[in-house]
Amino acid sequence: MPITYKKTVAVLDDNCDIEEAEELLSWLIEKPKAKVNLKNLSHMHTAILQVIMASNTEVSAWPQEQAVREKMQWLLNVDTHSTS
Amino acid sequence: MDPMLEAFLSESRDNLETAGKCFLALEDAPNNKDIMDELFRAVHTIKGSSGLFDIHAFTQVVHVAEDILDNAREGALVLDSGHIDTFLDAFDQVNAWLDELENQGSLASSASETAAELIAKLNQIMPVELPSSTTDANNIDDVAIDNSQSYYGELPSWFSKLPQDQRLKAYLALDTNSQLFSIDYTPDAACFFSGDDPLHFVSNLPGLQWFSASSLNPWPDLLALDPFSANLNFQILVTSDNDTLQHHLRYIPEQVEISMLCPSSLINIQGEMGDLGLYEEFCKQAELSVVNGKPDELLRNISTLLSMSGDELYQTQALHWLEALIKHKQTHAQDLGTVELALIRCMLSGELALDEPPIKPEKPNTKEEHGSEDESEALNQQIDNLDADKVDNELLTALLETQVEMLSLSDLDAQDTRLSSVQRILNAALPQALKTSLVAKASFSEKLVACSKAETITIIQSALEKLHNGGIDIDAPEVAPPPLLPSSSASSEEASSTEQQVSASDISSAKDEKTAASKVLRVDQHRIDTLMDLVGELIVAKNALPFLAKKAEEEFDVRPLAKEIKSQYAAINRLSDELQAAVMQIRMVPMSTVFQRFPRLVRDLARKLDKKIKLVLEGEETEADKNVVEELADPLIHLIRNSLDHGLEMPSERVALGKSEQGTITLRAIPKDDQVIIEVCDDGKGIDPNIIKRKAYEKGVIDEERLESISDHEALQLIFAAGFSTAEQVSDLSGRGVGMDVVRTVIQQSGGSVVALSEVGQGSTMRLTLPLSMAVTRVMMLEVSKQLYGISMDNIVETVRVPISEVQGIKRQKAIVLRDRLIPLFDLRTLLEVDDAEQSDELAVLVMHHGDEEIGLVIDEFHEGIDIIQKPLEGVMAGYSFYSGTALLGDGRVLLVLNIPELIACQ
Repeated sequence: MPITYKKTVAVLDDNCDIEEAEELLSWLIEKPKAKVNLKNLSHMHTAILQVIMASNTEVSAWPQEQAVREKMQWLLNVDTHSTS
Repeated sequence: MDPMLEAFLSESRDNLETAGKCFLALEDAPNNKDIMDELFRAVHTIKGSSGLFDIHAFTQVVHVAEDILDNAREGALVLDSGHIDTFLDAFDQVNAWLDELENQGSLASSASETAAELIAKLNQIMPVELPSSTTDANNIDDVAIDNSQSYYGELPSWFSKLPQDQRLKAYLALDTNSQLFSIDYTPDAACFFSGDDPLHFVSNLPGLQWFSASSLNPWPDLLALDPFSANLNFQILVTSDNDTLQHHLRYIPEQVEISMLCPSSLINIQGEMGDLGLYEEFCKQAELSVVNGKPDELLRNISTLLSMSGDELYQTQALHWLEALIKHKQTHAQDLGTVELALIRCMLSGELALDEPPIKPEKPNTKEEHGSEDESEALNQQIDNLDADKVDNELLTALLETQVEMLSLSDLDAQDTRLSSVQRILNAALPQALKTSLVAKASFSEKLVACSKAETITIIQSALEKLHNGGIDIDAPEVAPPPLLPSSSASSEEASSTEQQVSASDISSAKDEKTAASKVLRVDQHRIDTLMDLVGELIVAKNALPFLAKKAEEEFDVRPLAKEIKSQYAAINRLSDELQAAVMQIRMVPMSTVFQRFPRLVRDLARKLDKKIKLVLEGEETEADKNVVEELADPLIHLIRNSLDHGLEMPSERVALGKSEQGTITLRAIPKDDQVIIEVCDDGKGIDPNIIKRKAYEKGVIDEERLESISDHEALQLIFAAGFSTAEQVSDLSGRGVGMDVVRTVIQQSGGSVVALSEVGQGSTMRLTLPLSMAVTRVMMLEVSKQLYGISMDNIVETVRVPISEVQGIKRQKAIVLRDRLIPLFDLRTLLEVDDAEQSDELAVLVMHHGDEEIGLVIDEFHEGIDIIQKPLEGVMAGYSFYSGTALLGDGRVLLVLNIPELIACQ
């Protein structure tokens, strides 16, 4: 399982495919204050990214892999996700 | 298997074969356009259809190969043997992948690594920037992208969000081959459903420097969010060359907006101006350091200054940029230039005066040159103008002033270096128009080198004068930039016209083959085999009719019915014979299917052994049953390797012997009745029968008595004996003493024979004789001890009945003399160990070939010959090698087919 749901943290490992998006969304709806742990992430599908962006979910751990972390930070660290 | 994959596999194998053949042909005729075209077509087709499957590694390798071949086809590259080696290696791997695909349905996980290696090797052939290395796209047709964009586009609104370190990184990533692009990418809302992953796509863009995403429409409440509808807009910054980028984005032209940005727009310096007094002295020093090319000194000054400056100051940020640029240029051994000067000057002016893109616009690549020449000519011109003219007037003035100042300095020891560095700067910085006006006609740089210090100063001053007077219009800040995108559209037009040409030639060749193609059917061999089996059954069933006729006549005594059955039998017999022949014809394949792999083998081995060898193929069109031809492959490889390794001498030896330097191996197929003869001839040193005899004796293959009596011809055949090798050393090609043994075994299993012929010093010939077909065998039935047996008709010479009185005894061996030939007799009853027959005064003798001699088999009764489908023995019977197989007779009985040579050997 690429996504493991803990109490308040969803742990995203390896390659999170589009199939996970719906489950993650409903989980985040139930737990609005939950965070995501991206420590062992290698890639997330755009749909997952959308869910995380739309829910404004906080990231509890950034990816270990330098290249992935950099990209995730570009994507998620920007304060305003408004229309450009 | 997926029928599409199946078709792809067989088609690609054919194309690979064609490609392989073409490569070998190209080695002899590197400039042959027809071969090149054929080769390109083959590779192009493989690439095209590979795109249908999820095999990126495969597609990539073929794509890169295709690109290189395209260059070669256009004459930009001539392929030599080394290149061809690389290509052949790559295509061997491609072939292996095809096998993998067939067996496992997918490529091994290591495929992409292997592909990367191969691509690296291929790229060494032609170090062009191939846009394909990270292609995730499969299609072949480059989609023309709307190129109606201006040169340096406006900065996108998100540009200000760019983090400082990314800006610097992107700036440093720029080189002469790449430009800065911003891409606005809005994926189609339904793109997830077509399997797209925009994030993945963006992450893998070539030269990606930075990207971010924002929602296209404000995010709805989570409950209303549809995770499967894309609602994102990506902002992307890449440094890449235009072609590569366009290539990557060719599937989504309507979803992206690309604009090319001025690299200097990356340099973002903000903040309050600090106290100018602090920086004035530094700037003066720094300019000198730049001009004199002393980056170390400058770096030292910068770090000193940085330690004194506050972080938010404008100057500090400029210093950071300056430091990074200098360090970068130092590691890349580049001279400092106008960018650094501008950065230094902005610390005082608070304004970065840098209109010029520090990176030269892309030079038109070879492809464009091949396109419309006029266009590229014009483009070149424009670029030249741009280079020269796009220097800021003010900056130039400042630069020149500094030069004069420097030359006027009076430290003597550095005088010469200083002068030459000033001259260098002048040469680089002055616009061409100005140069010509200063120094008429003669090359400015040559003239300049000859100038003394005073003269240089004069030149600079007159240049300054001209600048001020505006005598020459070099102030062209908004020079019409080279139409980058039109040029690339020209190149893409060129590319698409190439495509068209290809498809056009595809069509024309398709037309040529139209008649043939529409009549050729690709049929799975299993289907033919089934048909063959059915024909076999039919023949067996047909064979039942004569029995029936006999029964009608003898048991029921209805002669007219028997007669009718017989006439019906004749008709069915004729039809089934024709049917059989027709099916056999389907199974017939030309020898070329097995021969064509040898040019490659010979070439590779010859290169490995440093021998010069020509392979001559003869009679490739000779046809034989598919199974026979396939069986031939392994023995022929052994034989050819042997000829290469042991037969042919080194070029030097050959010359010494008065032979031509290049050895010749001839592979020949000759049809002969219902057999086919394959010969492997070489003009090498031949086989010395005396050496063979000695070796055979040493290895215990023959005994002393045989050593005395053996003929030269017989001795030669000893090379096929198990455990025999004449090679002094075992090489990795041959010489382990198994090869020839295997050859003989395989050939004999297919019902053939092999003979070695040789003349010392002249060369040797291996002659294989094989039946055209193995499917239906004609056997003669015979009876021994009330049991029917079959013996292959091929070996039977004649049938005779001899009076028992003519049988002579020689030692313990019985024999008869038939037409002055002595024929040894073997009693089949004894051989089969069945009871002795009651004495009669006449013997039925079947005379047949056994090796090179004839023998007579004593049997009980002859019967007719029939066609049978011989089945191998199975189960407990499989171990009895003196039966070669079984067949079902028309009346349901089982016929055992004897293997006489084995039977006699068992004695």
